[in-house]
Amino acid sequence: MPKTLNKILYVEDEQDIQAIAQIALEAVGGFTLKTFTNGYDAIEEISSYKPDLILLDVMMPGIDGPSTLKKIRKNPEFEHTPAIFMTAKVQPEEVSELRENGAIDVIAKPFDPMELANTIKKIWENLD
Amino acid sequence: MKQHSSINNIEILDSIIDQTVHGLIVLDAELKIQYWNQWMESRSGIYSYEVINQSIDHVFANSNLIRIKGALRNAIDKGHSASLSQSFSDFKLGLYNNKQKTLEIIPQIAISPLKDSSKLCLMQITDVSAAVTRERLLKSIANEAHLGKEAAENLSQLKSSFVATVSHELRTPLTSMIGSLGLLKGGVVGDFNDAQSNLLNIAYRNSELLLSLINSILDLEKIESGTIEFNFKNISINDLLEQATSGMAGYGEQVDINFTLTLLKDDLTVYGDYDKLLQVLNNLLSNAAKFSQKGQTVKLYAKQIKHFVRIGVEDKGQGIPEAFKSTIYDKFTQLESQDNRNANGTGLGLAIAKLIVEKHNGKIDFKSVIGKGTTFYVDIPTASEINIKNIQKNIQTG
Amino acid sequence: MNKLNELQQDILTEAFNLGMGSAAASLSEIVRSEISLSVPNLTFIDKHTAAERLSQNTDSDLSGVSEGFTGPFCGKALLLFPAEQSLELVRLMLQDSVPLESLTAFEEEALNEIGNIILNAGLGSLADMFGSRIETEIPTYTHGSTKEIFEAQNSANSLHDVVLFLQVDFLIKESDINGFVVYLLDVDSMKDLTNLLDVYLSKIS
Repeated sequence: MPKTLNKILYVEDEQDIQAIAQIALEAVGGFTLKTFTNGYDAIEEISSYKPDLILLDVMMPGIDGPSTLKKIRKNPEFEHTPAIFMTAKVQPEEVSELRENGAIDVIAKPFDPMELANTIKKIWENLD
Repeated sequence: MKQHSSINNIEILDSIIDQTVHGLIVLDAELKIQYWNQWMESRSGIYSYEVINQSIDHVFANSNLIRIKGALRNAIDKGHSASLSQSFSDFKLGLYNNKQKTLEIIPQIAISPLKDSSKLCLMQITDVSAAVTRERLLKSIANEAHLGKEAAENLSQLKSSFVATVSHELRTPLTSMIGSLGLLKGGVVGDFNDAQSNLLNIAYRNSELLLSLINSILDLEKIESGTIEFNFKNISINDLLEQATSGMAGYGEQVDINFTLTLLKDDLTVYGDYDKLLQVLNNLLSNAAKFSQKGQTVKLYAKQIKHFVRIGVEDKGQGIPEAFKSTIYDKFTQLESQDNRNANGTGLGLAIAKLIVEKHNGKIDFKSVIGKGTTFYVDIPTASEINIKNIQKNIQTG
Repeated sequence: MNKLNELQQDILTEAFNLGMGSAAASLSEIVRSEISLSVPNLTFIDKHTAAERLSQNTDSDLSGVSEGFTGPFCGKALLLFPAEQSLELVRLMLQDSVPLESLTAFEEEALNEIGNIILNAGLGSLADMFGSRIETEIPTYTHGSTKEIFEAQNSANSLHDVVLFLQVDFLIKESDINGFVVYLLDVDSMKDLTNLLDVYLSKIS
């Protein structure tokens, strides 16, 4: 059983979705969040933030979610940090591909903000 | 003498001519009518006894017959056949598609000398209204856009992807609206007084309705244009029914409706798209609930009828009024439920359900009595090689 | 293979041009603009050669109209154009500015009518010349390769081996359209036709 989930690193380029997710996770879930609108900033800042969980949007301009995660994983400190992707594409083939790209799970967009924190908690509890 | 058949009986031959779905007129050398078949009678409203031995001028007094008479003369005098179309002359022969004369027929006319006869000729009239109208429509679309014929037909495909794009563009801001309203309504960022909460609820509910409408429109459009992806495989009916009922359990509690399930004693398999069929059942079950009173029961069951499996959704609610029965599958038609619980409907559910069932080579129907209840039936053929082949052909031809 | 002698050739060409003249008049009246038709030459050839000539200047399929006829001689009459030319012709006659790549059903019917008028006129002219009656059947639209079109004309009791091959020039609204009229005949019909020609020639000389 991993330690309790506290700090989440969240990358999402769309401002409105970011704002909603932030409230969903902080106010409803009680988590501490650091949000970024692009992958490059996240890659730079992650060392100083040291999150428990990485939450990434898949489709982003510039550098997409999977590529951002790959770069983060190059740092040995975050090689095994649990990561979850958020995406509108949830066909079984696409989900397995994302899992292969280093994620423990995939959350479908659009998400219900009242349930998001719960969903993440459940995923966290199911970690080996 | 040519021997096309063994039938010599005049009555039988007459009957064949009367059942022909084209107009048949025989004229003599003076262009007087000698035969006027049943099709002509019903389209013109003129009985054959009224026209026999009358000149064609007299019968079609209000029509421009110059080309037709020219062709008739050629047929009698020279033995030449002719084909006259709408392309070069606008024939109006005063023929209609029904007794109420709602639509004047656009005719195509073929004239030929009758062989082995004493100077008689045959005029055949075909109703080409549908084809001509469609052609003109296609032409006007092409004209407007200066497109080629293939492009004109592609235009309707473009419209389809337009619908898809617009729907996506409409959905994105809508999901943010629903998300933020949901958080507000949930009290996550502070409390609201009753009046404020009420307004928030209204806003949230209508945003969800709008989203549901957009999804339905996209669904409907995809099914109609054949661009939706159906995922067919062998499905257990009992599985499907169980999933439908368990999915409805929460809703049932909310609206105080009891859903019961009667499974098949011997399970049956159908070749179908699981999610789409579930969608159909969910639609029927929620409709049944909406039009029932609190505390009532909605029954879901299945039984085998020859090589079909019939899934029934039965309620004891308010029933469907006679006047409404013929439009029930139309888009955007909605019945008002007695306690207004249908306010959240899009009016598209049954239209979509019907299309889905038809893609499965099945049928959807209902029986209803006002004040007593309604039962909807969905008949799906049980899985067999022939059925699977038919469905696959269906999908390909769109 | 019996070819026509010069005299027979001249008299036939004259007859067809007469027919084309009357067809042109009918067509002009229908579309209300000046159309002229002429038959510069004609020959009797075998089917193989006819097929070659039809596909000579074009790779594309042919479009046209076919009409069966019966009388002192029988066969199939066809008016054929390379597909793009038939398109062009119909557009000119319908005054359509829409650049559609292929004939719609509407336009097939129009071509049917045009072909009907022309083929009837040609046969009518021959009938007048011989003082006999040639009956024609209702025309049908045809399309395809030369081989396909010729094969479609065969029926249970006739094999057409001889072709009376006419080149037809359309002049409509300053556009030149080139088409072909072919009469598919069997050997006996061809003999009947040449006999009738000889009878006619001896009458007028």
